[in-house]
Amino acid sequence: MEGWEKVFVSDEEFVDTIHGEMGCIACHGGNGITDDKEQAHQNMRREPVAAEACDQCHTDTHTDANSLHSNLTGYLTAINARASNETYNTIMNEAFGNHCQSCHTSCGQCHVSRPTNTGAGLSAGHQFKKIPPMNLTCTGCHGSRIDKEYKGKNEGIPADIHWNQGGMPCFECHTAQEMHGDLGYQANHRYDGPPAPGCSNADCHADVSDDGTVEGHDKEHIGVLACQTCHVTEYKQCYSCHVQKSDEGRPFFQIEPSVMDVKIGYNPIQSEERPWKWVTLRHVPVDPDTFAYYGDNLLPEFDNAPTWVFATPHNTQLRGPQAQTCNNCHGNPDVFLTEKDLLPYEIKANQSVVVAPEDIPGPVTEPAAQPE
Amino acid sequence: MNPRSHTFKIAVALVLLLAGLLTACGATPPAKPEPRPEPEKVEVAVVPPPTPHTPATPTPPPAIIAPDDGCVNCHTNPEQLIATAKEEEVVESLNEGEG
Repeated sequence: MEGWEKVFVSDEEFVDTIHGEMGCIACHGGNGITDDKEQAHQNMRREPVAAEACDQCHTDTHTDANSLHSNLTGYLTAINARASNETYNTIMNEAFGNHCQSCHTSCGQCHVSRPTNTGAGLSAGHQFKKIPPMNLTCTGCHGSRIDKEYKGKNEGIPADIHWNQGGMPCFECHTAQEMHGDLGYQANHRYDGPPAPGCSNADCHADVSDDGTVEGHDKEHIGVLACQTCHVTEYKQCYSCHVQKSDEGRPFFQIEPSVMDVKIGYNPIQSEERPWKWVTLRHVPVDPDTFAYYGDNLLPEFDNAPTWVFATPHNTQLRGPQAQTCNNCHGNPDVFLTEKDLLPYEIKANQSVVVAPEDIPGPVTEPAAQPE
Repeated sequence: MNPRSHTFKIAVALVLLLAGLLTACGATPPAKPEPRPEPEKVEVAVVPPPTPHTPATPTPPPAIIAPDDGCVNCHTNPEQLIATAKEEEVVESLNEGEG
């Protein structure tokens, strides 16, 4: 997108809309009565401040306060779990701003423009999109894992059934209330509170029963296994991200090549809301030296939190490989996270999720095939 | 009837009518009002000023619509935008691996 295109108000009807009638200055500041570019842009805000603009009318949407997309509390929670009080402040002082803050989004970066992190620019000539354009916003940021998994862009791995058969865009499951942090509680992490979305929500698979009428949907499996353990195929695991700055002061990262597989382990966030014993786990690319450029041992509590975390991979299958035969899981150590899957520096951190070989469910006799 | 007698009667009637009118229209002095009683001196309690009331749902102030012809004229005109745009410096990413 060329620079001029990013700021081209191509929607001729915009000025007559309720937002257009407010005038440019009301949200963006600047000087509207001059033809001189420099003067016009004095005190101009490319991105309006929500509290001064959006919130004046949209009083029922408290995005800035509660949305993880806006306040990045999920990042802070993850860093805080592994840093000390002192090193947390060191990371916040510089590294966070250089490498993490750019993933912040705002009202405008979803509803009016592309996120800054993906190059910015008006997404539809300054139209306000009640539903943000999925490809420019949702998967514009959540690209390397979610987009590729959901749409089947990983070679040889099918797309999510919700996409290739259901044609469901992100917002079909991820509601405005979830995005805006209006779920009635203050989330400190993506998986705080009840599953949102949850597979068995009223409009989804609320009829899933444990009465055994569907193979595998019996009391031995339902309630013990998260849905994903059977219903996903291979998803992406990322390793060892290191952040630093170039000699010219430009921030950048280096990360190891990713790996595709399925790993089932113990639920690290087991609760009444997520009661399952077995869940799918995803490797997050944190490393004890992730922030080493900014100081020594900045994650001294690295062992406090697993690097294999609770995950809801976005490549749901009606019958994932695990669900095709009983013994694709039973007696199959490859599908379980065991100590051989761990890097030396993360063995202690993952003790709560790793499965001892003797705890892997043993092989069973496959049921006889039913006649057609 | 004696014309002189008739004239006399008319004159008398006119005089009586005039006298009646004068009496009716004469200003009757209003009754003197009762003097107002002196107000009793009472102790006045010092009432604190009312606490400012904050409405439960703030009403947004009316927007002040500043003239923005300059903004609209430029940002709806691709030729002008192209002519005034600064060339963006293409910075090659130093990142290695998938973000």
